[in-house]
Amino acid sequence: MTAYVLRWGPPLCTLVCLGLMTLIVLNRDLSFIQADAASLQSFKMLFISLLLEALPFILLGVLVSSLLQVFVSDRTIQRLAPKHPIGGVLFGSLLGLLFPLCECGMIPVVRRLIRKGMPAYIGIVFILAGPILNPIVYASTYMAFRSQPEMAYARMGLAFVVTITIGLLLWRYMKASPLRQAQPALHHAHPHSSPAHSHTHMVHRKAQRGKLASALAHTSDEFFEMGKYLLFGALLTAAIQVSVSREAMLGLGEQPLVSSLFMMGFAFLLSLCSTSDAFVASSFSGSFQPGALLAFLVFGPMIDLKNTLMLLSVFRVKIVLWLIALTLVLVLAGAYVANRFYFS
Amino acid sequence: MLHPILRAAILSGFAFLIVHLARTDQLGLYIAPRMELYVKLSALGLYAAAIYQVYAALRALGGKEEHAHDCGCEHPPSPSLLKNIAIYTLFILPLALGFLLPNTPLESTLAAKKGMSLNAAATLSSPVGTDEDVLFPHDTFTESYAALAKELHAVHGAIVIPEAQYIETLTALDLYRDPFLGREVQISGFVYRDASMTSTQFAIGRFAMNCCSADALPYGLLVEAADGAKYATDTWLEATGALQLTVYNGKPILQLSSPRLTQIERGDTPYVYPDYTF
Repeated sequence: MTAYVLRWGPPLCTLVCLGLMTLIVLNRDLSFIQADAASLQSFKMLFISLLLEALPFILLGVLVSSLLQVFVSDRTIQRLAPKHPIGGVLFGSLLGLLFPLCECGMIPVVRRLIRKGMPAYIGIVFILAGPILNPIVYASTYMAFRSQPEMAYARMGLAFVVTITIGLLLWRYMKASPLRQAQPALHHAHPHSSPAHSHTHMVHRKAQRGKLASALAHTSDEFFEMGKYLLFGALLTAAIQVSVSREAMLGLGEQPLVSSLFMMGFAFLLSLCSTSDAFVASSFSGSFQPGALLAFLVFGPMIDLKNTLMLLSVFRVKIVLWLIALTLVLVLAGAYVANRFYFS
Repeated sequence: MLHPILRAAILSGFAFLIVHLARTDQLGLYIAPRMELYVKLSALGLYAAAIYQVYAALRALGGKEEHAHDCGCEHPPSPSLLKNIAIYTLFILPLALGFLLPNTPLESTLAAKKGMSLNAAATLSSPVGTDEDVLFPHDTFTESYAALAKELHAVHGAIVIPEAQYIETLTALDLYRDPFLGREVQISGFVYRDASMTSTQFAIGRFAMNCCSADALPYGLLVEAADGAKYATDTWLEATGALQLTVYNGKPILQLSSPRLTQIERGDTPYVYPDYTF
């Protein structure tokens, strides 16, 4: 089923896009599109806004990934990566404190690190935890819920518990490489990645030109590879935001489990950046219980439409589905417990 | 040969789109000011990548193997023509939309989807005053709102809701309603209407943006004006009128009654931003 969707989704969407573009070009002659010109305009504004927002992070991500590929040897990565699973999981979940990156920037970096021999479970834990467990997100959550500081604590706490649990489960049960087109690190030795030079500033121009070109080649290849998933995700997200009205979804706030599930679905569809989603969540606090808002705040940055597509570009479908299922169950349970015992 | 050229065109297209938006002061319609620098820097990055693609194209033309192919670690472009058309169309779509359609700020169409927030303090629990002499009771979380409310209350004449602290001022007024009832308040923004308003009612509000327009939410005040119907939705107005309480969707909320309405030009910055130092 998923393979089917993945196989036919992008081409289908492209047909739709082609159709849309034709309509844009022929704008004047078609009255039915004029009727909804305002929605198309909103769609355009949201679509490009989502892209522009993600662009710096994805570029930074592919750039770091290329520099790692070209200038850091596999051996260094393997030596530096934690050996013990507890240490590894803790390391992965707290790495966000050092690198407060958006998730679009993390995925290419993590893929590169895994290919270069870092244990995969650490990388996946970082992808899940990084967008929440970092100082910027803590500060913005604290500010958005200024009359309810427990929300910021609960968000950090639940994210930590969920990622540690998932990390340990992955370490225990995930044996094969989770990457698509997985290649063992050793067969992957790069012709240009001699570890002799760690930095280039075009000082030794002749020796370095090959490396710089190679880094640029990686950067633009990866940009296109990640970019298509980002574009598709942004396209869907913008389309959903202009067509689904928020009012239609209120009134579900009473039942704790239903409303948590609902808010998680909502977070999935919105694909907001984790540094600003707390403000959106706080605008719901009149109509939803804190547990449901917590579910929104923890689930959204870990799994959303935009990053699921990006995850699928890197990891095998089975792993991504397992990650979604695990995160869903753990966040739901955590939000329920928090609502029952913590917020009261 | 064709791939590097197409890629160079797309990469420089994105770079030019950013430069174009920045040069015409329209970047702010898409992202918040604190993000603008990063987006401009990424235009530089895109441009560098585009130049590299041109270089790769020239190398391919000269008969040299493309680097990305001989290292075997990246996936060479798919051989399927249909797939390639699909992927490149996906990249060209935002460029076409960006260059061909006008850049307009988010207004009532999207406000209707996102839900116009007419009581800004809905998310704050109103503090209960124990001391009757205190006009603006507060706890540690509403302290800054109490301070702002005190300042606003001391203003002579109309209280202007400024661009810089739009949401904060609306929240302070909404949190401490009673002392402000009957006071003149001035607000500016676009006209918004929905089905639960009467024919003489509308709202004046603005979008508050944190990071990009995907997370922007509209905030505003309800307005009751006998001649309100003559102003079309999305017109920009400045309204000065007395605050009073009314019932909207079964809840008591603030509204400006019979205000003086002036049509204004939409400013260069149609959105407002949360004051992070507040």
